[in-house]
Amino acid sequence: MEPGHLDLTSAEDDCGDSALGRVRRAYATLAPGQCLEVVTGVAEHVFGIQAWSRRVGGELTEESREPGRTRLLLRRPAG
Amino acid sequence: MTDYAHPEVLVSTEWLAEHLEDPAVVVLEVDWDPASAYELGHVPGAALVDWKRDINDTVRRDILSQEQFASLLGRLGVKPDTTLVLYGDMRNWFAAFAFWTFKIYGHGDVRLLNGGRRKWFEEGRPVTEAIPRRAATTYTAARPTAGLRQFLPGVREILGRSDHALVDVRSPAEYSGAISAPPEYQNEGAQRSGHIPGAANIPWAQTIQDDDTFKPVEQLRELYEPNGVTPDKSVVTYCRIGERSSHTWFVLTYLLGYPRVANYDGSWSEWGNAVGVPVEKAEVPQPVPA
Repeated sequence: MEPGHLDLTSAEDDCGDSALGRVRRAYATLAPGQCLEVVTGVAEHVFGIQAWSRRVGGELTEESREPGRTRLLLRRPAG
Repeated sequence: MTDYAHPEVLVSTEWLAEHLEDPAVVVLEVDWDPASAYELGHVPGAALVDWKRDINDTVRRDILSQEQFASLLGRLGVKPDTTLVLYGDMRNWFAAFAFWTFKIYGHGDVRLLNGGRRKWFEEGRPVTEAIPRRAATTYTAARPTAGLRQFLPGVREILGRSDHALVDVRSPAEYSGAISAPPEYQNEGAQRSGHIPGAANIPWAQTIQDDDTFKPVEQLRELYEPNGVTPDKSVVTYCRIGERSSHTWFVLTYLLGYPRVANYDGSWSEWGNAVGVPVEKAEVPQPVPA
């Protein structure tokens, strides 16, 4: 199933929803089994996504890091 | 940090790491969205200050009262001589707002973590979900300090005056009138978009570096003085609800040492909804073609 995509690069530059708030809203739109790809360069975001997904039972199926950028793949559990 | 006018109000992440066990220091994480920040992990020993619940009156639109402030600091176990270190989510905006309110009510030693929560995590420093327990105190708050806060009538009075400067710290898109608030913030919308006439647009983010620490003093001066925001003037900062502008209030007051700076916390969510106040619009900035 094609993942949704969320780039948090400029999240929180202006007064809008928090980075994790954006992830939560995007995740809420996923159907069971569907994935959300999140890209960020901020360690605080990565920590928040990892901790939050553990709390809500989300599956962090991939995490890849390169200098200045982390890509996370969150999957909403099926069923 | 020695070139700043008041370097003692900033602490580095290194300093904080060395003072986590210091009984004279109370660390407070000030969050707009605690569920996305403090509750998932915070600096060891830091207590939560929920900006919406603790720093604001939850019924009418206002900052907390003198009595509410005394109650809050008593609950947090703060004494008049306690060193308070503030940091928080959303790039330290709400920590800066809390700093501003703490100064309004006269707490002496308040400091801001330079780089904030973001830098703490970037450096891989320890975090915890544990909530600290500290014995409550009886805290007496001072009467509000005059001059740190501005209201709509006061802003109207200074329009067009050469001895005053207005700083709009919002994004160019907000300043120009292209947007008034992001769609997810419906309760911060305004009937009109644009800016207060005569305001200089100096977005808050121009005051920080890539690691969220404040720029050196010379670079900060270059932001404000060429735009007519000079220390000989009385300066009023504003944004949409007063939190980004408290960040700039902090820069002007403590890092550059401007003697008369007030934060207009009613900001655009008040001005842009008020009947009969003048509004200016600007050209919408266009992206430079690649």
